[in-house]
Amino acid sequence: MGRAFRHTLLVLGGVLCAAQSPVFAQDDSEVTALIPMNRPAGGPVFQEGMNIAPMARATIFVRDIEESLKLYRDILGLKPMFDNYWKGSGINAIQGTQGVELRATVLMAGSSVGGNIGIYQLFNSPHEAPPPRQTPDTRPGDFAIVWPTNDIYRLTAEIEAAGYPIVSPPVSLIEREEYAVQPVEMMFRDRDGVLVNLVQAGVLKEDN
Amino acid sequence: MLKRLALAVLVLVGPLGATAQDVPDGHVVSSMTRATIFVRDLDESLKLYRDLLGLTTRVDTFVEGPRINEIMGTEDYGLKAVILQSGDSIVGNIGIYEITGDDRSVVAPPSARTDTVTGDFAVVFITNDIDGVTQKVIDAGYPLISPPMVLFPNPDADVQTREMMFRDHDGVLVNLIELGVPKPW
Repeated sequence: MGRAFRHTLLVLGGVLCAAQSPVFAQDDSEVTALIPMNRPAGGPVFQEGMNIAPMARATIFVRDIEESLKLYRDILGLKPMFDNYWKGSGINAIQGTQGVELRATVLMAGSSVGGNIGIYQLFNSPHEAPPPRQTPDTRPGDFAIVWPTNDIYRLTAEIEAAGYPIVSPPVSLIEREEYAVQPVEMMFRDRDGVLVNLVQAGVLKEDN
Repeated sequence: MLKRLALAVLVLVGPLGATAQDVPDGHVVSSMTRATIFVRDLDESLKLYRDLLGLTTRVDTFVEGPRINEIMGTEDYGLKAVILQSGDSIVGNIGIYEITGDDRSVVAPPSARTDTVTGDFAVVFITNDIDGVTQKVIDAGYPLISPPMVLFPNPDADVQTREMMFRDHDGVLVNLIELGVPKPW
């Protein structure tokens, strides 16, 4: 195709990105890696009798990917596995769209093939997104993502300071006598209305 | 009543509260334990995620009382909570939750669009039987976004990676991927 170019600078979502050379498929598909791929070791595991491996990722089709990255990458500290920009018929066929382009980044804790989060933004979509739900409660139709953390109080303070709607501060679902420090969890909404539930394990008493 | 509540909470707290997942060095969160869908009809959702996709039940409980309502930011509702897993994995599970007694407002109908739009959510699973699962999905009448297709042809593959996508009964996108096989050289 002869369209390859090196060290291209792309303006995506208002952000200047140092991109690698685009790769073209046999059709008109084109994918540009905005960062080098950080491929986790290993692959999905199918345990006996299962045709489905554990969830690889939950993906949110966000309104503003840079805004979402402020939460998931910068506050929660997840690391990118990849950050790609897609064009062409392949990505539109799987999405059931036409003429849409996609920036897709997947973030992970450490290096894992499962339990990741996809932050995807559609470009050139003819559909305007409704305003995201920002109520401090939980409703049918909500979608939540649950992560264990070891730093729930600092994260809660940072999340609150950044203005995310808090559904619940850290609370213990049940007080258990065998715990010296109770397990706690908190919940808030991200900028797209997705519920984020952080769970911190408790510490058992020494005699347990 | 108290006995039932206590039992429910005990069942719930193990997997939901006191997780055994370690946080990797240099991180403050671990891999996602689960994605949870607050569904309109739990039994209808189980037909897909448990019966059709074959995920197995890790937790199936009902919980009520002030603490669960505090976490949900609600008052006086109950929660039917089912957590499904592949094998015995504690990472990448899916939660199917139904709030009971919810009289706040009429629930909006789920999206049945056959395209993808901003605001959508997707759960992504790797499968080793994409054609078999797709046929079951079609037979069950879920809105298909795309049949199994090659997203990006790989000239170095003996068998291409394929994926398909459909919506569940709550409008959540379900993306199934069957990984390809590299050429044997």
